[in-house]
Amino acid sequence: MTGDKTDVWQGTLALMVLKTLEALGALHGYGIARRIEQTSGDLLSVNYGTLYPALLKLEQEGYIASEWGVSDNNRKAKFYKLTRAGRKQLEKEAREWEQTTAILARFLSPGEEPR
Amino acid sequence: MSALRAWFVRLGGLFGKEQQDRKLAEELESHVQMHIDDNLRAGMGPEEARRDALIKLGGIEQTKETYRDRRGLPWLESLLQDVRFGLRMLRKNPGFTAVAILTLALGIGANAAIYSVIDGALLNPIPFPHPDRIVDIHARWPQFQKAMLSYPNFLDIQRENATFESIAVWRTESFTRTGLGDPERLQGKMVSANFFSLLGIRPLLGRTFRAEEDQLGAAPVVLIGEGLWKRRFGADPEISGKSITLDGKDYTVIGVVPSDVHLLRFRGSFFDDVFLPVGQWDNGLLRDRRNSLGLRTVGRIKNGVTFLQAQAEMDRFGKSLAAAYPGVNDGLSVWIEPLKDDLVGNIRPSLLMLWGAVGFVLLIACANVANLLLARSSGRTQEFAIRAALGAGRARIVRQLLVESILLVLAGGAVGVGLASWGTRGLLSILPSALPAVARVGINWRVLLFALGVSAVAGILFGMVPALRFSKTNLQEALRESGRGNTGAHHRIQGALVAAEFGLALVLLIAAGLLIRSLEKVWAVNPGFDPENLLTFSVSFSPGIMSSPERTHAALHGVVDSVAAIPGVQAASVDLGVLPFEGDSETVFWPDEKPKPARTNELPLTLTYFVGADYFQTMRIPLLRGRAFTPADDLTASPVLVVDEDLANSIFPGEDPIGKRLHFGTGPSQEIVGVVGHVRQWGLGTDPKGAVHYQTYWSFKQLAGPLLPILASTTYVVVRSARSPASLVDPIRRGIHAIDGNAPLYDVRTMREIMAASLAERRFSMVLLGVFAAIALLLAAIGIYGVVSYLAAQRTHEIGIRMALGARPGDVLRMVLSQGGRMALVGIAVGLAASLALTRLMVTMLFGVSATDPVTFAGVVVFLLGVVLLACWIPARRATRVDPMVALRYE
Repeated sequence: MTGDKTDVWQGTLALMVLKTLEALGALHGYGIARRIEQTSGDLLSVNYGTLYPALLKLEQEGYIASEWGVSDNNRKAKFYKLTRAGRKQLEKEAREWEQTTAILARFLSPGEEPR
Repeated sequence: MSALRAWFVRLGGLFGKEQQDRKLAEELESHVQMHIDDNLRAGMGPEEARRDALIKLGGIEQTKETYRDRRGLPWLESLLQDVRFGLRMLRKNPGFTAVAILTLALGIGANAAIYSVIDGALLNPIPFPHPDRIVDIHARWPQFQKAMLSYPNFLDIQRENATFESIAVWRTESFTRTGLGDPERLQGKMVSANFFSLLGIRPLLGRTFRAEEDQLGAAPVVLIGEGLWKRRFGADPEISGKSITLDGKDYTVIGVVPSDVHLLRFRGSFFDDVFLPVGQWDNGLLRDRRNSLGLRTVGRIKNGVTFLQAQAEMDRFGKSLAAAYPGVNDGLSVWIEPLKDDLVGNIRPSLLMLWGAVGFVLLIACANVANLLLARSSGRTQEFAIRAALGAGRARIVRQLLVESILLVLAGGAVGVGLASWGTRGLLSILPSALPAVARVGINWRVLLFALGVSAVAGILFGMVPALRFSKTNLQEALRESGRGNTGAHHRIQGALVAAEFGLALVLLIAAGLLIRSLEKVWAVNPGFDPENLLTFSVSFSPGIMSSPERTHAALHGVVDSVAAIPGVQAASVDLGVLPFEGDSETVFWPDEKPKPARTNELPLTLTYFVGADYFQTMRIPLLRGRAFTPADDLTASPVLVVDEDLANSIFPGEDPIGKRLHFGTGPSQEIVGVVGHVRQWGLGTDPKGAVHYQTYWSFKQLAGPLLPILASTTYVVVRSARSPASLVDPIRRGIHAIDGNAPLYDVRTMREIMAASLAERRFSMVLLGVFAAIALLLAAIGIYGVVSYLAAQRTHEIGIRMALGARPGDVLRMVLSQGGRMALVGIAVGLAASLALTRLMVTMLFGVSATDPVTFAGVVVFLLGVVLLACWIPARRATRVDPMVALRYE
């Protein structure tokens, strides 16, 4: 394990899961984990185990739904997909996240420090 | 929203755990397999591929654990675990559980029972809509605080007021119903047309009165009560339009009034059977502004008008009516009182006292259960210590203890509510007359809520004790002492609880003792006549007989003669107007020597008894001076009068009253020919405030004019017999039916029964407080017995050593007894101090004993010490039988 990988914070993981499902459609847990890792350019290390409680939470909240199916290489797997509520939640969270990062960016960029 | 949804899903997650676990295992398995496949494809060896997959997953078991926490509600799961464990613990100790639940059931049940009475009688006594706006409207005269308005005064106020939605009047009256079976005496009301709409009562059938029916000369109509409708008419749905005969007159039934609405019944009165419009009453006195004829006025204040505004308007009415009718309304003022206050006024202090008493009982019950739990929890110290050592947090163990307490108190509360519903029903059947008759007492949701609240308080009270105590124990010590971890602090808590129980029980016992002594004293009061073997009954003659004074007099004579002729009867007399403890007929008077005063309203009042020649002999009221009546005191003779000693002494101080004359409003003055002893008209206790005290006796044979049929419509007869009066009823009934076949005979009671009924309220408080004090005593005795036994058992080892070293059984006995005695003595000392402060609050309920009556106080203390001795004696005896060898080897 390379030491400079950042751990995924709780909360952002949910957003990444939702975004992943939006981009790729129905996907199993392992696929989601791999996708998040790849998208982050291997900068993030997902402890795959933490993914499952997060998936469960999203399902309990009604943002994703699950169904058993068969994977590309013929393995039985549980597939998750975005629900309507999940789509809305994704838009909302993405918006909030952009706002947050925009604000933080202003604070952090040295030239525009407010007086 | 989504958080709520998640919560429900998680609640659902508590069920079907095994299948869910299996699904998760499958999902993780497929995850790992897919990972391994990828790794193999990337060129790893099978072993390495598998290892890498598991590492990246972060441990299957750990994942499952966090997943499970997320799936259900972990705190709820552990709570359910606690509940299951608690139930198991309670089942394992059935003796402990039963005693604790029963103790709590007594405490909570007593509270729920009293609260249900308070709820029905004090808090929600009026079953009508918006009861807070319904008020009684009273007149006030200079010499009379609470008087009634006359009909003309009522009509004026009704017509002109602006603050009331409506104002109605009612008066009780009884009627003789004839035709259709035996004649019967019916209780009824004469009401103004708006009476029912004011109270919000709808008829079951038909309609209520119209304004035009509430007039002289209108067609005679009647509403009948549900009771009569079912009893006499078989709940005939076609009753409207049929006719019934009351006092010889035919009335058309226009509707049926429900009886589940207790229509302003008052203590001891019956359900109303008939309702007539008061405006049809052709009694001339009704329309005379000087008479109130027992009219009660109720009003419903307009929405948005305050009580004070309504009172201010009544003040104005008082002044204007007084000014408009000088000589009649002089000094009149009008005041209003919430109907509720009027209904519950007398019973309130008793009920509040009883409420306090059951609070004490509950505290004692809690102390007892706390002690039980303490004793048990010290036996469990080791269990807790081991659980703590295995990683249970203190909070978790305290929660476990609280859960057990809550289970106990819930079970106790459930049993208690059962006891309460049974107990209230019993109470009401024994002592119904002590409560305002409108009270609807029963277990309703308010009572259940109250019981739940009480249980919660109780659970916290006794549950906290062992929980707090546990949180202070040193676990290492507890483990090392292997279960005998008893510290001095522990004994002190138990001792303090026992002391508190005895303090509380002492207060209750003293209060009950004071009430018992009061009742004893009241019962011993001389009523002014001899109540033994004295029978009274009422009779109402039919209208034909009362059509002329001669026929009425003849019938009254006939009744007395026929009763007096029955073997075993020593004397008999009629009594019109007032019977001791019953009825009320009064008038103003002034001595002949003084000029007639201008303002009759400031004159003294006297009760008027219209009696036969043998009345004093029958009642055994002592004749102090002069003579009693003779048969010669009739309409042809000059009017004579017998007065009571109080009137004689106050009006003619230091003079001989015989030969003096008294004036009564109209008519000639009457000569006093005799003075008799004073009779306690208003009950055996002290006279109520404003009650008329003076008493005058008139010869009924000198009575004629409009008053005679009114008075004779309820004729009391008093009968003195040598033997038990019960056997006289049948011959009396036969004799009266020979005189008037349509005359009902009713209210047959002995004087002793009437006197006992007059004390119903006192007895109600006394019986209940006595019961609560007994429960308190029982619980306290069980409490001290339990603690002393427990402590003695804990000291078995020590006692064994002492005995091995030469202590005699007497020493051991003394040691154990003194340990219990010390606790009780501290409690008794505190209880005495509390009693001295608290019994002062019940002064109004006492009679003939002071609130600090030394006899009661001393008696109760001695009694309580006896109980303590007995309760401690048993464990003390057991301790003396300890075999030193066994005790020492046991450890």
